[in-house]
Amino acid sequence: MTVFKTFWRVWNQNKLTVILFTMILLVFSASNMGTQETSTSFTAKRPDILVIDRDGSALAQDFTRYVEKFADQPVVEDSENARADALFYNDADLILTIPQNFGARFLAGEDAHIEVRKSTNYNAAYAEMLISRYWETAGIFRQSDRTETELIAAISETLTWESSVSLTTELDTTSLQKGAYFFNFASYSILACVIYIIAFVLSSFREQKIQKRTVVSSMNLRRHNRILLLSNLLYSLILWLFYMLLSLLFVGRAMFSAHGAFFAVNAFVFTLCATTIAFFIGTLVQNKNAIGGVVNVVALGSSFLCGAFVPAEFLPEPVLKIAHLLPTYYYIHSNEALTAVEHFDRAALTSFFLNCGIQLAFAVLFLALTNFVSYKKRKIA
Amino acid sequence: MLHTFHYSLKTLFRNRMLLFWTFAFPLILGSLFHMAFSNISESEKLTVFPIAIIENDSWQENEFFREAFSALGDENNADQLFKIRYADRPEAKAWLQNGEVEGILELDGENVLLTFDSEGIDQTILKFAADEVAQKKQIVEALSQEEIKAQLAAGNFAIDADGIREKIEARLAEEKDTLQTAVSELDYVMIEYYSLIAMTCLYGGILAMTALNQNLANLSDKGKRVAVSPASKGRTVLASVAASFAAQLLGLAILFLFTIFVLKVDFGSHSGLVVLLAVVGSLAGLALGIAVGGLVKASENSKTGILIAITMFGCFLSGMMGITMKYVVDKNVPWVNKLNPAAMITDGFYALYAYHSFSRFWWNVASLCLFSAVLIILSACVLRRQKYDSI
Repeated sequence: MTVFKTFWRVWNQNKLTVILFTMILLVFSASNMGTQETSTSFTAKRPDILVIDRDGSALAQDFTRYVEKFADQPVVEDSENARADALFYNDADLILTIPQNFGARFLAGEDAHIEVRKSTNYNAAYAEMLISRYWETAGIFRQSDRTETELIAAISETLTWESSVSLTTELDTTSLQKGAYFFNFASYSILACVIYIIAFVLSSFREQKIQKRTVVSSMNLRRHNRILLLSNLLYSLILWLFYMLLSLLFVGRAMFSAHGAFFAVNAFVFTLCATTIAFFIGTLVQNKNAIGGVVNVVALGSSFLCGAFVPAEFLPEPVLKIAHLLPTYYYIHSNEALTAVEHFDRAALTSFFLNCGIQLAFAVLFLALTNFVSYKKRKIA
Repeated sequence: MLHTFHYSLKTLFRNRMLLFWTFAFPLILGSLFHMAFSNISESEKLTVFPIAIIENDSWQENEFFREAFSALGDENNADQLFKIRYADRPEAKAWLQNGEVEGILELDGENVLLTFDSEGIDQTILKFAADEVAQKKQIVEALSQEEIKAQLAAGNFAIDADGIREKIEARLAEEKDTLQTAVSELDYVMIEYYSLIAMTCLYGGILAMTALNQNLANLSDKGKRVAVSPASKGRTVLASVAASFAAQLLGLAILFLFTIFVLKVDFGSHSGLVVLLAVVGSLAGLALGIAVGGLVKASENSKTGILIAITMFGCFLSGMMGITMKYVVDKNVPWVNKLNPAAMITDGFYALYAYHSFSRFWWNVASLCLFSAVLIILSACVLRRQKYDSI
């Protein structure tokens, strides 16, 4: 009981770190909550287009309605700085300014221009194609001496035509993507919280003064180590359970499906692996001051390299190769793969359990390394 | 005073934990950013992707679609969108299932059928292209009818099909310059490096805090010795803090050199203002360190933990672990980043990078100065005439 109590006393002294990393996960998840409607029919990507209509003509209004049909309109304060920020941070992929008298000039066949500012991403390229389509159609029909109303009707009749789309998947990809975002980012918080606390506890118990006292005490050393190990595991388990509760809040309904269960199992295996990494670091690093640094390097390093912060598809090939040497890569790989699994058939299950197996293999490796280091450091003067 | 400055500097440089946070950690993190973000701008650009087209009778009969898609799939066309593979339905479905193509296009009479197995930008682009080709076909048909009506109305009953086609082609090909596009080439990954500089400035607070702790009798043996020595406490503290500031600036200089010459980060042409912001940012870090050191009653370890926690959380809110976080906070809870020194520093650099005017930059510099002044004054009030009855 003394060992168990001491574990939680040390935890209590360092709870700020757990709160911090959990807060970071909470803020990240809250900012990604978004109210996208879930759907199993095909939904085209909607770019963000900001239209500033200084004209107000019927044609400009019809164009704005067309944009609203295919794109989302971000809410941006009416100032040049706010618009520049929106474009920089990709809140708006495209900013359009329709100048005064544009409609009249366009109909009269005079030079009429819409000012377009766009970023370099693919949403902006797609958004520009969407609006070009409107004005190309308008330009072609304008030549036939139509009135404004007739022109709008002709454009509208043409642009409402759509292909039929069938989606072979019935997956609610939006919710699953949300799940993957949450669990990918959670890898950072899990690693940081588990390593920091366990390494701190272990280094506290390994302080020479304490260790000498433990060795000469009447307590069986095996029992001491067993209780310490169980306390660590209990802490990891509580942390995992707490994060699963958070996932119910942030991921929602998808957590009650088979996909949700697999996300949870994957996170459990990863927490176990993180616990063994923590054992290793706690045994290796005796200086308490150094633990903060090691935790930050390990947690941030593996999160950046394995795709917890930046989606793995955006990472350069050499970085992904390095990531293969880290357990986080296999955890994130499983989360990403789960978003596309329609049926848990043999192939999907094999891939999932293979990734879990690799994480467990890492766990075994870290345990072996811990034993080795611990054996080397056993002798005390 | 110079003597204290000299020895404070020596003590700080002997502390390996401090050296790690001030000198090594920012370099490690900068390298990680470079590895993770070097590809992101390229990855977000539109790329040519594979699609399957089912070569049935409707496809063979529809010349308009065949010509349009052959242009969109032409490798020599600058506007190529697709890499097209032709097949029958079972083969195309097998490709789709294996992920070899992003979608299938099939014509059934006048209907266009698209099959996808996921939703994404590639699928959206294919749908857009198919819709546009079909709409163009509709336009051509409408214009042909118009022309025929016009010719009939003019009493010309011998319809000149070639003439109509030429006329329509000319109308379709007419110069379209309604949109005047300007592309913003600003790279939002820069925010990562700005938040890195912000983090280094604020981590410098650990130096100031350690230097201060050496003067606090309740925290270190050195502090006890200083307390009983005849040296002026104010001057000793000032010299220690000045030493920590010098070490902090050295760490920052190394980081700048590393990011500019190794990671090739471009901080723009306003070098003087960049340095000024970094120095003021470091002052804010120093003030934060002194405040945590002086105002918080806890062990040195806990104080370090608190300072690291504040810095990490501040950097997270200013975009270090997800670039858009700063924008989300700025837009929805602006007061949070107005109080967050990491965001003030990041925003100052951003203002220099993205804006033509300097007002936002100076606003951030002033905010940082105010932040530093408030914390330093508060700490001075608490530290002033501190006495210990027993330790």
